[in-house]
Amino acid sequence: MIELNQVSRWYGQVIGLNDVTCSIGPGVTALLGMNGAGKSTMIKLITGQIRPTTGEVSIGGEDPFANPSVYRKLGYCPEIDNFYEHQTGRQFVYGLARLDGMSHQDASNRTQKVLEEVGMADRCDKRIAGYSKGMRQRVKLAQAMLHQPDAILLDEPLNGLDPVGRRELMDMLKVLADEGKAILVSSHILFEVEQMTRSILLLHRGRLMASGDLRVIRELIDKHPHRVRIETPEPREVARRLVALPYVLSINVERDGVELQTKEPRQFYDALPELVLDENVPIRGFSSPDNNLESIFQYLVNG
Amino acid sequence: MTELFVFQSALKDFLRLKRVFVWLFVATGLFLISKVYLRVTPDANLDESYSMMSSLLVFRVLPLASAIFSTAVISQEVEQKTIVYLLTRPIDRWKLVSLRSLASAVAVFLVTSFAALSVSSAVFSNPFANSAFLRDLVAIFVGSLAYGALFVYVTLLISKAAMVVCLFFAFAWETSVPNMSGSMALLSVNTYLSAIAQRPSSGNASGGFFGTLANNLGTSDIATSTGWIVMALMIAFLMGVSMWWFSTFEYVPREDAG
Repeated sequence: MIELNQVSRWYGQVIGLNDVTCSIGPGVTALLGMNGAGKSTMIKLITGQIRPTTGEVSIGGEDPFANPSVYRKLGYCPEIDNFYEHQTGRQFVYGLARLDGMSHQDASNRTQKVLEEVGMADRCDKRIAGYSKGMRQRVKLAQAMLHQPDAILLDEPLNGLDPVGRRELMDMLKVLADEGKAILVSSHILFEVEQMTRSILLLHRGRLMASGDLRVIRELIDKHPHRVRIETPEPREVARRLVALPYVLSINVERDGVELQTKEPRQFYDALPELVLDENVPIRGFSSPDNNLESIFQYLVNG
Repeated sequence: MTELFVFQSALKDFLRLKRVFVWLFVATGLFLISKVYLRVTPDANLDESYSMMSSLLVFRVLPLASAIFSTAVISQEVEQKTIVYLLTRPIDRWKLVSLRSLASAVAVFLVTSFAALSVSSAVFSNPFANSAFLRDLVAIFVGSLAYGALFVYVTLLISKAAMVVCLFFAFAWETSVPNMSGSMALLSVNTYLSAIAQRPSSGNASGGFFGTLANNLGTSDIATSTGWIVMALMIAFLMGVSMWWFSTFEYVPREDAG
């Protein structure tokens, strides 16, 4: 349905997207990449907000730039957090429904329905200026689904959503995907994407580095030891407890914490709460220098 | 249906109480200034006083209001990034820009007409009995479209500095150029609006400070029909260019590109 053929886009001397060829069909496809990788550029090209410098973008065989017939089958949830703040959520969604060509009655009914679907029906009559980030995100989602498009593009849709909201969105996307709609979801958080789909497009510095099944990428990552950094006031004591775990390969003791390597990150993360609660290990926080896309790109680039 | 909604919703937005309140305040100010002018020139003819106040105040408010409302047509949407919602809907871009421009012109006409009414009320006991006021309404309507067409095109060309350029044109250009000798006055919209409003003959070199501000020093003598033709051509040309421009070029906040 969505085709990009050798698409490049330059912003003056800076390249936003570099010779990307791919197609996006029914189901959920994740567009993964760090900030500045070219995700938003790609979405803007598909939604016809910008034109490619070279190459072709087509949706159902049509050029999307300023093309109303394409927008009848395309829903777009932008990353921006900007609204007509003086309006209520209902007014905002209703107004866009009218721009979709619906009559007053149809727009009112459809607005009510999509607001219910995104869990905003009871709060949509307050002004958007008073909305939380999660509520704003839901309203953006609602306007993207208004006209029941064949393809929906969601630019970082999980930003600002609480865990319940995330789960609801993922369930909603699954239903839409099962209906045969093409859904493209951009994200820079691998963990989020894994829960939604296995089909990915991996962008790095404007280039499409990988596409296909996420499991292949995961297997690549799992060949490498996974690093975890733990902040603690008692690094030696924590290191002593952790080194006893069978899947911990090495531990580096630092002044305010420890950094360890493991080949079984899932098992390690499962065991961590027990260590803290049952054995009273003093942990202030933990993070993984590897649990980000930069690491994946390093793996992909360096082999 | 969609087209009517675009026009109505834009007009409703332009005439929000928060925006209109400022112009009500301006109209009240014009009323008071006109009263003061009458007080300091007790021997002046009322028709001439109205003409002076109208040129000096109302036809200054007109380009000012137009500059402010025109930036809300597209430029403000780009700055606020809400343009993405408009550009990804199934409506032609040329319709968006033309209908929103028309809504902006109507809003400008309404607030400026109210300003003219307040000046007429200050000068005459029955403001509607003043024939110059009715002619001014026609000129204000044409001016709303003409300034709107010009300023919308400017905002499409230069989003960020558009307001500054439009305000410069509204005040510096439109105040100085009509007073210049020779055919320079022909480069001012105000010259043609004065012709449409059938103002008293120009060339009043003894206008003094107020006369200068009211553009009474120029020597151009434009026929009313010429004023109509030039304004109609200008509006049609600039709106056509704006519609083409907006349909052809990208309008997306550049800082979002990533």
